[in-house]
Amino acid sequence: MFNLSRRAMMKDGLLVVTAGMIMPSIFGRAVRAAHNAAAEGDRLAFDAQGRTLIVVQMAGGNDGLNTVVPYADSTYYSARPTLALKQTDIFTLNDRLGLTNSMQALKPYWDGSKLAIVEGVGYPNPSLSHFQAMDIWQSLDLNGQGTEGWLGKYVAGLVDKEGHPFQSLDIGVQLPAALRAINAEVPTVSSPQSYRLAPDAANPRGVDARTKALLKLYDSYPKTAPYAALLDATAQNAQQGSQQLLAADGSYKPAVQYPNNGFASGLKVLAEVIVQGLGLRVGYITLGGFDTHANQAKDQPTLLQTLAEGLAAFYSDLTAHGKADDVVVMTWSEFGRRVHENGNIGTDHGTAAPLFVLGNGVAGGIFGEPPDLTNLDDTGNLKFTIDFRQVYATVLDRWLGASSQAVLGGSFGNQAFLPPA
Amino acid sequence: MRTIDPSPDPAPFDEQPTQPLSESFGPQIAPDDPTLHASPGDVQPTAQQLPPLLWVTSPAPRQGKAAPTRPLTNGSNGGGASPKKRRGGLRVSRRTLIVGAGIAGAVSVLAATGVTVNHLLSPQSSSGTTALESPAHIGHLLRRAGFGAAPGDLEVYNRLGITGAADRLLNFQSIPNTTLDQKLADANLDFSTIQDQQRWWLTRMVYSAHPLEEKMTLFWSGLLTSSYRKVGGKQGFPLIQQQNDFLRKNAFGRFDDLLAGITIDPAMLIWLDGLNSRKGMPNENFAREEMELFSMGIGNYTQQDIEQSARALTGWTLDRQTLKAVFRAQFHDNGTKTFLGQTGTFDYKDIARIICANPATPKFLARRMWRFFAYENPSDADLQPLIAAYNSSNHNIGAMMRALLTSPAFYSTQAYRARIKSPVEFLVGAFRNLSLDGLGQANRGLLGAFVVMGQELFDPPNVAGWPGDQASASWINTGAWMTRVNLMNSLVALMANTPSFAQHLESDTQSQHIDTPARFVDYVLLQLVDGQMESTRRQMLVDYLTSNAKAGGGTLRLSGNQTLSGNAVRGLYYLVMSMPEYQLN
Repeated sequence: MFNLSRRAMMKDGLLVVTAGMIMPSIFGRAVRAAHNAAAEGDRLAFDAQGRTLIVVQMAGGNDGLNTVVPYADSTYYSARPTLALKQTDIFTLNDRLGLTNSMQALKPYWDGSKLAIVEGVGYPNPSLSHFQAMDIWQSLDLNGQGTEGWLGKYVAGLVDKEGHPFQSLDIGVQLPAALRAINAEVPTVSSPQSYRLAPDAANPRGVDARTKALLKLYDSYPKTAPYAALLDATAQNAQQGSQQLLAADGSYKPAVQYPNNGFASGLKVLAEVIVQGLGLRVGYITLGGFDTHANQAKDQPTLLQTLAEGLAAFYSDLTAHGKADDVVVMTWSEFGRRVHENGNIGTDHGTAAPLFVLGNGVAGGIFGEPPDLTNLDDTGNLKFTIDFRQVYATVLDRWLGASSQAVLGGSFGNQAFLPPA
Repeated sequence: MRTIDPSPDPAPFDEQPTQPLSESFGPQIAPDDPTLHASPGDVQPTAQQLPPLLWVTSPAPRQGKAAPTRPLTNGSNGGGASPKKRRGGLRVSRRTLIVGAGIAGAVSVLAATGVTVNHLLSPQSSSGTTALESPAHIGHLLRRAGFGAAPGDLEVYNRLGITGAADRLLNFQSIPNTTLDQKLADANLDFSTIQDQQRWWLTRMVYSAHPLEEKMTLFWSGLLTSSYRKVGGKQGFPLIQQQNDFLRKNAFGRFDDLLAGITIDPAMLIWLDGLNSRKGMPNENFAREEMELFSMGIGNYTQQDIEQSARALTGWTLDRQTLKAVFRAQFHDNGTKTFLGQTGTFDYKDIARIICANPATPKFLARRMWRFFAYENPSDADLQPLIAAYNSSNHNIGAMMRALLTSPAFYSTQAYRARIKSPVEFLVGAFRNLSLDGLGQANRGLLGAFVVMGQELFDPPNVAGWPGDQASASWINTGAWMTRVNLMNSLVALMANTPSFAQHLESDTQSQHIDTPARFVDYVLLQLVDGQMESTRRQMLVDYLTSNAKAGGGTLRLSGNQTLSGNAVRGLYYLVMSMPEYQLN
């Protein structure tokens, strides 16, 4: 394996701009270590005591006002003559706020004080562009120019002597910007059953020689050639991870019936990796479709139900396997939506919105202040009350054993939805 | 969100979708074990179903008449290449191609027989990087301005030289497209299904004699984009193909026409909610993305410009019977708008006109084109000829493409293998390179593999298109890589079931006098990676081939007395098409 310094990487014009660039220096040794451990039948000796954060991206901009509903505020009803949720559409959280019935599946966790709702999350000078807003949330650069993701930075900083290929894992087909990392390879899996190199049906006996030659071709690919680090690290991580997943897949049995949709299937993969002790620290999954410019009354409840039922199944599965104490789930969306509905039974791009934090270790309740519906900015949008980086800092400092200052590049304080570390 | 089904059938357009399908932002979870089939109903062949002899052996060469063996390349010693040019033989460049920074001893293999190598370019381009030589420059051009070389393409385009090759790619209108037309006529496709539309376009990409036309359409499909997941349903799906036809027809025309046309394109009216946008309650969705993503880029307009533009765009909707775009004057806001500093009673054409005249637009387009076709970090100097072409040609895209394809920087080592192949480039290219049939009849498993690799045709992840179009590193992650490699495994299974492929190989080994495993490796490397591979790594392939000489699967007879194992030959193709160099464009 090889070590390329970051300086060397930046010096090489070929490697400068590409997004998602990763470097395998620590990773390479780590995976070799994992390989040795696996070879010695030692896979389950991985640190199962470690904590895990699952991040759920609600892509497209979830309408926070129809999620956590300010049901006592008459402005809400006047701004949304067709879209406002009625009292019968929600269950009350306190004397001001109610949660949409679409998220009924999470009510037991609210009642059990395991669900925190952080209100009014946003940042200064909000962008109404999906893409700039997503970049800001993921790369922390308020101009949307960042290249590394906040979770990628965290993962790259993990000292993982065991070398787990799955210390971080993205479910899906496209690595999110939040997980872009230097010095860490973040695998992307859509289906564990197909996550393996297929043998040649006409020549099954030749597969070992062929796979060996293939990996050698990656290992020997000149380090200064285009995309060398990316390609080599990807191939190694994929091959090592697939072997672990293959072994894990045989023995994992979900304890609950997951809903039949892609989001829940993805959560099941994350549960499997956690239950099987493959060393997951950061898992990532995306639920898309929240960009409800039209037909919101129909579309958003379906999405929120998918979210809530998936998370409830995931939580139950973890509980049954004795892992629920080790896992916290956090949601985010790039923005909320305009206070006033548009003419298409929908809402246009907005700003601040609530997010959810779920887990046994979470202190349930409402955190932060719901934005004032009568004090809007000049685009007709809410003014944020909590900086999103304060939520990140809380999770990093109080759950993931990190220094938020090191990851976020600043001090943003903590909220109380997690107890001090 | 995306569904787990590789071939979802969203609710018809005229009903409420059962799933939220607004502008999709989400992961796609796709099916297991993508396989290639010759026809949709076929079952993946098992070892038992494969014919016992996988490689058809042609009659033994007439030993007495065999010409003296001529080197295909530098022979088996991995050393310098022969500079000699023989009649009907091969000319090999002495210069080694340096890929990236300082790979010593790269193997340089020459293209085809009797090619006059065209050295139009000076060794040093304006950007200070080394110019590509034959055959890499033509291989590069054909990958970028198309989907790679089919057998015979290298000779044809090499003969034309760079300018001639660019001309042929750009002025395709008079080139007959008979093979493609026949394939499409035979295919009997049902355009009310998205799968058949995908097969239709894949067929076009594999067989078209107008490769740049398809490549440019793919570029627009990722820029002025729409997804079938919101547009679709049996009634709506044909609108996706209609949009694709619009993009193809206007691919090299005036950008004003493209931008105005896409504004009232029926699929776009659904995708970005234009169809319900009315006077007094305009929908901002299209108005914002038209400037942010389709033309100028963020930072060149204000929220107020979006709101004013949204007013100008009101009144266009779809006729519910014909699904054609119709203008309803009573829903159009014909009041005065102030947009990008100009004031008037603007409509959608005025908005497009004002945007196209804004200097931000050619800059944005030039950068997007350069990133897609050349490399991802162009300098201002790289883009200047494209911007100038836009301005001097009344906003003509063809003029910009000509400027791009004749730019020395495009043929520099900085551009060579500077992008990771998109999934479509990768798989279409593989079928083209090997002249294999079957992608046009892709089954649902194979179509699902495009999803796992991150590029399903007619379904960009969101309105910003495929991120890999701009930053190609995002095409690669562990799951996508695994799928790419497994597709090559399926492809070599298809080889085993394609007798004509083996026949073609045997014919080439005889006619090109390929008489050793090393020369066979060079033949494959020339076919697939312009013959550009570092010598020690090339040797690994030779070693693989020789150490698996008894791997069975029939035999491939070389030009002399030697034979290769059919399984080893297929293994070699798998390795070359899975290795890093082949992942790059």
